[in-house]
Amino acid sequence: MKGVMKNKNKNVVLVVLDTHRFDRLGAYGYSKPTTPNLDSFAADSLFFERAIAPGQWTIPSHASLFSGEVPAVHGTVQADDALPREYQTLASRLSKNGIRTTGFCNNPLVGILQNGFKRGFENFYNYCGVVPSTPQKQIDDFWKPFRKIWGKYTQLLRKLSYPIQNTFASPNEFFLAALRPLFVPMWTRAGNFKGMTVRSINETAAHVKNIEGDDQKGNFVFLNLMETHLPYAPPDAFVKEFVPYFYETPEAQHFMRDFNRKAMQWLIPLEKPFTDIEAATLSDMYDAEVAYQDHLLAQLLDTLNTDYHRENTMAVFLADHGEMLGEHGYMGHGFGVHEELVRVPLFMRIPGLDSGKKVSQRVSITQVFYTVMEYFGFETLSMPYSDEVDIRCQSLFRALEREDYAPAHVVAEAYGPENALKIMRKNFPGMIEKYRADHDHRAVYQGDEKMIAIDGFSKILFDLAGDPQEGRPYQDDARIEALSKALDSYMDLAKSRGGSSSRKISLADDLVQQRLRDLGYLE
Amino acid sequence: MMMSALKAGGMDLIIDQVRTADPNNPRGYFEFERVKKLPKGDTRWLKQAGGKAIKIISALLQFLPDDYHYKVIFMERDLDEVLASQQRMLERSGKPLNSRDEEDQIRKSYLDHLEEVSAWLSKKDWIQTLFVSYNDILHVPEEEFPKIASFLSGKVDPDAMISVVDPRLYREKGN
Repeated sequence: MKGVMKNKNKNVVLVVLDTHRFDRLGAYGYSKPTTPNLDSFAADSLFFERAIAPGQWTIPSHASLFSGEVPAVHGTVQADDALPREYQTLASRLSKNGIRTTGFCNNPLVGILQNGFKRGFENFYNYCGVVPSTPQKQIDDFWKPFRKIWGKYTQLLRKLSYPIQNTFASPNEFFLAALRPLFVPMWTRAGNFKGMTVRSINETAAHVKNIEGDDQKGNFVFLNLMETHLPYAPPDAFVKEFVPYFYETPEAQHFMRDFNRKAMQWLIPLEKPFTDIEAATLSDMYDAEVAYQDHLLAQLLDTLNTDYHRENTMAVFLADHGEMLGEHGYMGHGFGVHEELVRVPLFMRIPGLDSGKKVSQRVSITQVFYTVMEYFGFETLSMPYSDEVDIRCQSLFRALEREDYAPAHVVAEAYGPENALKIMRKNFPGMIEKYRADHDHRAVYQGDEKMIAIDGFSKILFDLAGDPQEGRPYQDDARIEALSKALDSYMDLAKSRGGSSSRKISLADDLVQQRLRDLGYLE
Repeated sequence: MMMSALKAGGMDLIIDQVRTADPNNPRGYFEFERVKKLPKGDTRWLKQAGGKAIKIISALLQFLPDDYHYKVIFMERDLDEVLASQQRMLERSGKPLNSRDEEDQIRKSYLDHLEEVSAWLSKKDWIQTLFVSYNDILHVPEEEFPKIASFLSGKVDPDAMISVVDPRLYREKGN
């Protein structure tokens, strides 16, 4: 890798707002005052109006963010997949070049699973799970031996608990059992499913503050926040502000209490549409969580707003994916590639660059990998398909240099999570066909046009300018052909980089399926 | 062939007698019908399957639950032979045959599928896979069966497995 670290005290703080819809931020036009703190920071940043997540959920999106490759290439798309070793993670690359790497993580899919996402972090703190690991506080010498013993004990507990927690992430009977309403409070509360938002922000802010004045090493700090993930239980003050009818409406309370326990419903499309009060409650409670998280982030944003960090620290805020709240029949972030799910917030404040610039071209979250590398001074890097990849080709710094900047391929890919598919096969088999849930879904864009391609089934065209809610698909064979070509080109490129067209085993070809049926191998 | 070799080697098989021997498979099918229901979540039978062998087509591997560990003996065969063999089986069963273009399309789909399934298997740490060549087993069974015996931790007798190999029979099926 060439051109590393010309300036030693460069830092990057990367904050993943897990499960954060773009359209619930004021900066993206939301009418409710959910995110005053993030809006203020966004106004001071390089602001991407149309950022697209490479995948529809945590695993593929984080794998892309950390590897610089798209899901069709890295293939890390299921809870039991691991990022192949040949992909050096962002943290590994930085750590090897003398940059201090620290992770603060609230998402068990990132922090607990043995999927390679923690590779390269010198320190990685998990606020989620049965036995969290958090930074050690300064204590008197007298207590240090006791802490050492306690530390060994908790380390052993973590060692024992991680394989068990890993088991629950796989699409097996343990996973299904854990989704029963009786057990959901157990793993969401005792198991710290959403981590500890307050503590993780406090400790990240403290860590970032401590960086000030440390000119010996650059720093890369990663924070994943899960407050906006289900279950929703924001503090009363936020409920009163964003769900003002909640405490006077038993139906709303009953629904939320019930929905918070029915984890199975978080993962799969809806059996029947929400009633008006259910839809409003869910959406408004989500807003309350968004607002609560924004409120808590003030502390970290204040730290980032010191003169030192304005001059030395690139701060990036993005979401790994959004959330479906009943739109198009979808719930959660397991299936589909609609805008609520794959269009995400992205803004970054970069020292020395004009603030407040807005980029209207569509970009991918995957490009943040290259942008961070370029900020630290890297020029080329070795990838599995080439020893010398020019970082500039994919870095978002180009958006600052050229008004007509447009990256070649921005595609969102959705491979249905096996654990959710298993639930559907067992309990709602008709739903798989209705939503084509076991087919790969991909979204490809050209200007305001978006095509959703459901592998082996259909291609649906939308005009996002006139139909941002994607409610009115239209037919235009020429445009479908053009967008199909763009998607084919993306998939061909993925294949040339070692990816397979689909990381599931597919026999989508009707001819082959018929052949195997005729031979008696399939039902 | 592999199923009968495993049986000869001393391995218990999970089979039913739903499909019986016919001109396509004079020795029988060694199949278990419920395996076809894996996509619908029918996996309860796996509880009794520990230590036994079952025949499964590669497209169904993805539906095996990861509650268990599996050893997969992945049979590879020249694709043109596979297609020719399948055509003959269809012909004998009175099923409609595909056109030349359709056969080409099936061939391409099989190739893509093989690529996908290899990638998928390499990423599943609860599955161990041994790729074996069907043609090598026909020609040098004395070299191939010991590898399988070793893969199965010595649970089969490679010498006994060799006795089931009849190159003439399988060559006919391929023609």
